[in-house]
Amino acid sequence: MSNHQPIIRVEDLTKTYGSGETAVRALDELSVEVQTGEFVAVMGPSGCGKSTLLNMLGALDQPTEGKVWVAGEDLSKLKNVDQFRAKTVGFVFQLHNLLPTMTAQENIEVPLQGQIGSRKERRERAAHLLELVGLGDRSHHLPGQLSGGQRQRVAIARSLANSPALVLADEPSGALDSQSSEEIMALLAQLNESQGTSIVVVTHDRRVAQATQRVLRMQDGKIVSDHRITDPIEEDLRMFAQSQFGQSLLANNPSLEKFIQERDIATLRHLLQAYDDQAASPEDAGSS
Amino acid sequence: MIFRNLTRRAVRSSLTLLGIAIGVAAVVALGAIAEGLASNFAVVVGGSSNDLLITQAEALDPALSNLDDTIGERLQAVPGVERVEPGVYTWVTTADLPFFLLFGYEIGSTAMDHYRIVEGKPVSGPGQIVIGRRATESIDIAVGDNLRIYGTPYRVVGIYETGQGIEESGGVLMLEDAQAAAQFERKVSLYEIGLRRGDNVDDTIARIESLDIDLKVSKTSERESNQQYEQMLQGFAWGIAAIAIFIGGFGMMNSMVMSVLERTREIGTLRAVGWSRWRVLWIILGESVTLSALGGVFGIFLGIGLAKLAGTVPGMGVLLTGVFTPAIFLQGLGTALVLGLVGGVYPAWRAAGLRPVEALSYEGGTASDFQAGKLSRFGSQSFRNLWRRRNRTLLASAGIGIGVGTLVMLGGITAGLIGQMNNLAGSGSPGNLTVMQRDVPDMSLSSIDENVVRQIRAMPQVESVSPMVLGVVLTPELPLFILHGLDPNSPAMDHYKLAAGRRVQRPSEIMIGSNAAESYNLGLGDTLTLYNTRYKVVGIYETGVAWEEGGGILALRESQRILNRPRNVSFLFVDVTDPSLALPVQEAINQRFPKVRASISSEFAQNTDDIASMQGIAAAIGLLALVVGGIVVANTMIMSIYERTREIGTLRALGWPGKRILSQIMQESLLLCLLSAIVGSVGAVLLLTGLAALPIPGGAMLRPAWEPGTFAIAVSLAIVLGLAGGFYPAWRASKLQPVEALRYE
Repeated sequence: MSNHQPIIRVEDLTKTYGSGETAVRALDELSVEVQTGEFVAVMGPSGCGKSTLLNMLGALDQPTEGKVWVAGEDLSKLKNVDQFRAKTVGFVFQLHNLLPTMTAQENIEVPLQGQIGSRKERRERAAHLLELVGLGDRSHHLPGQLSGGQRQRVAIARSLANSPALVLADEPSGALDSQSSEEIMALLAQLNESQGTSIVVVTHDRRVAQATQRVLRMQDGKIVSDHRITDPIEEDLRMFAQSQFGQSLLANNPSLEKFIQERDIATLRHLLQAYDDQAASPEDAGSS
Repeated sequence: MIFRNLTRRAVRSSLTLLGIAIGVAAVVALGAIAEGLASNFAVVVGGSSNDLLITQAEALDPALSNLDDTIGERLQAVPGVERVEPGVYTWVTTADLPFFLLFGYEIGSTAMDHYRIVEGKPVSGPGQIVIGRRATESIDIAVGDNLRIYGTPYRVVGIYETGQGIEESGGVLMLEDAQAAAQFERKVSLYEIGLRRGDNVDDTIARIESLDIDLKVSKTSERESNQQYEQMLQGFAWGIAAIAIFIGGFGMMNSMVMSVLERTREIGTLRAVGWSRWRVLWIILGESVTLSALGGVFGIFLGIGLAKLAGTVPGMGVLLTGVFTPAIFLQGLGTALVLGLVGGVYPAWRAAGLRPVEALSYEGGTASDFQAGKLSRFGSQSFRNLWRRRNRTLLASAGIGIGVGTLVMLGGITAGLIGQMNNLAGSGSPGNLTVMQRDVPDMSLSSIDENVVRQIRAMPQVESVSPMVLGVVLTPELPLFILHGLDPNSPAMDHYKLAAGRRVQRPSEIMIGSNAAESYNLGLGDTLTLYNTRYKVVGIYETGVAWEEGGGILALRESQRILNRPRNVSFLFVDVTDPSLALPVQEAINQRFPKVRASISSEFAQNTDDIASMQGIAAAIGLLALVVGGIVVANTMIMSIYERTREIGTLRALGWPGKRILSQIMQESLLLCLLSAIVGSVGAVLLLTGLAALPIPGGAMLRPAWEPGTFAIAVSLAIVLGLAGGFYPAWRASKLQPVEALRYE
């Protein structure tokens, strides 16, 4: 964190899908910087552009306008996109996207192919990473034989294969139960701390965001707020107050303001639980 | 999403359509060609304005008929007969045409008038020929040019038309010239008879038939070709159509099964929102019928085009001219509909029977759809991906395997034939030569004058010459009986090892092969009737060559008599005094007697045109298998990459270059095809071995030989298929945009 070169620099990034009247602006002149070693959450409702941003950072998609630098490299001038995807960034997908025909260890070797020549070294590296995510005894299991949480751990190990400077995770716990979800976020936080890897997580779950150090909120292709997390309860309340659900609740029940100001923990927990339940309801749980 | 779904379905639909169309095209084109073969042959020399046609009673076809030219005078004496016109009708091979029909008639005869001159003038003397319109198209020859037949030049004086393709691909000479060219000395193929008006036709026919037992009389207006022959041609046509339906039909069914399998999820959705199993089926049924019918119609046009194209092949074209009948179109369309329905409804029925949850998770791209099994961690990724969809892999392998298998089977049969022909009588020692008439399209047409036999026998390096006459008997009692005429004391007789009894000593005796004895249930002392003559079985022999064992041996003179070939034989087996002299003697014979061809016996088969035709058929079927197989491969691989779109997107996102994806998919395609080649080859070997073991007369004739070359061809075919069928899907996969691929459901 003392390193002054930002791992991500985004300037006036615009991405438009389609053209003419049906054109959709997924990103609208967005600018942001992330410092090396930061663990950042990008939040926002469905369709706010958070996944699009992640794809741009991973060089999976080209911007319509604007520039992106990752680890000092201008993505519009990349000579070898494949090399960049394999080495500089690591991707963790919502549905893990492990290849079903490969064992856990072979899945981790996928990004190593073409990077590390010897098969033996690839194996050793994969085995080391599996140990790192606590699955040393599962190396010869196929994804179909692993639980959801274990699969996602393998996916995280895979994203770390080439020791990337940046890990991009798109709803990494979106398909998991709450306990596995916490474990995954704890693993990411631990990796951030021990390896110094910069991590950007896209999520719409406040509990996931809590595990990070900085939250970027997006709406309609723009960043609408950017702040560091100091006090988790404070963060939760801010999120609650800003949400549509929270606002309508507060408008109808002015007495709630008092609880917030007095920080009545029991009542607040109750309120936040209601908020979580609402957020987890089907119409809101659609894909990003 | 909707748009993407539509384009995705469009590619799949057109592939299915193409698969069906090619199958139907194969059925239609091959059916039409076979039909054309059968019907064209039946009408040759049928269109004359003479009233009756007289041929040898047991000849399969006028081309195989031999009649003494003295019969003409006796015919002329029959009351009611006004004109007697002898004719020669035979197949010859010229420099450019493997099948050239030669007709010979007396100058100025009514029979000659059948060949209507449209350019130049008719034949008016020796050394002249008029040729058919179609022949001029294939060999680039015009009035005034010379045409060489067995070394003798004939001047083309005119061009004729008859309206009948096969007749128009031949030529007409004056009778004596034709007799000389065809080695028909003092013999003719047929007589055409003009009747006196007013007499009762049937009475006259009866009078002619009572003249000689060897004559067959038919009215030119309703000429029936030999029924056996007709059946043989029909059988051939059906055999080819069956292969076409088999290969093409499987391709169709495959396409349909794939296209419905792919929609398992969609079917699950329909079931989940409350559609009944029957309603789902009904919809799929409708789509299958539409697709099959469309593909069928498209295929019919494609088939017509293909058959027309085959008709333009120089030289062979006339034999491949298709005859299109409504039955053939119905056959093609019917195959498409039936197989399309079966192929469409079965997987739809299964999909609709799945619990909606299962159907919905069918291709979700989640890990759970890859069931762990014994083989799931074995082998390369290509293998595992094929294993992952083993039913589909099996289906595709079967589709490709049938094509490969057919080819292997044909290869095995051809190699077996070559091997058997090279083991024919006379090949006992390495210094043997086999001599047959040069440039005859079929071995049974070979004809050598006995003067040649005497002259070869007189050559100093020649130790012995064994002449042999070969005839094919096809009667209801004896389907496919190969008659050999051989002098009982000739050295070639050693080839026939006696299993029981003794050798032929009298003209009324016959030796038969062990297969014939078994098939026709004949033993020593039994009698056998050939060409109205009864022969006593005195010996049973074995040679190891299927068709020799499926026939019998008569004394040379006796067989010449009943086959009507006096002073004339089919083959000579020549023994030289010293094996090292075989080559020089072969050259000497070929030089001295331009009308015959001597080959070292062990290489004899490769020099015959029979084997060349067989290999041509194998090549054509190979091509068909290639096209159908290519579609199956492309279909399978496209389906496979659609299913794995997300996986491919993931690999791209993880930094795999497009090239690596391309090579992975190509590897998979190649592996699939190699697997199919193995399945097909094993299947072919098992099937033929099984067929050969069946106790049917034809079964024993099938003695396949398995050569490495045959399997090498099968494997090369598989590699070509894998490369051709896999390239487009692989290329598409490598060009997938990662973002879209990852979003793909």
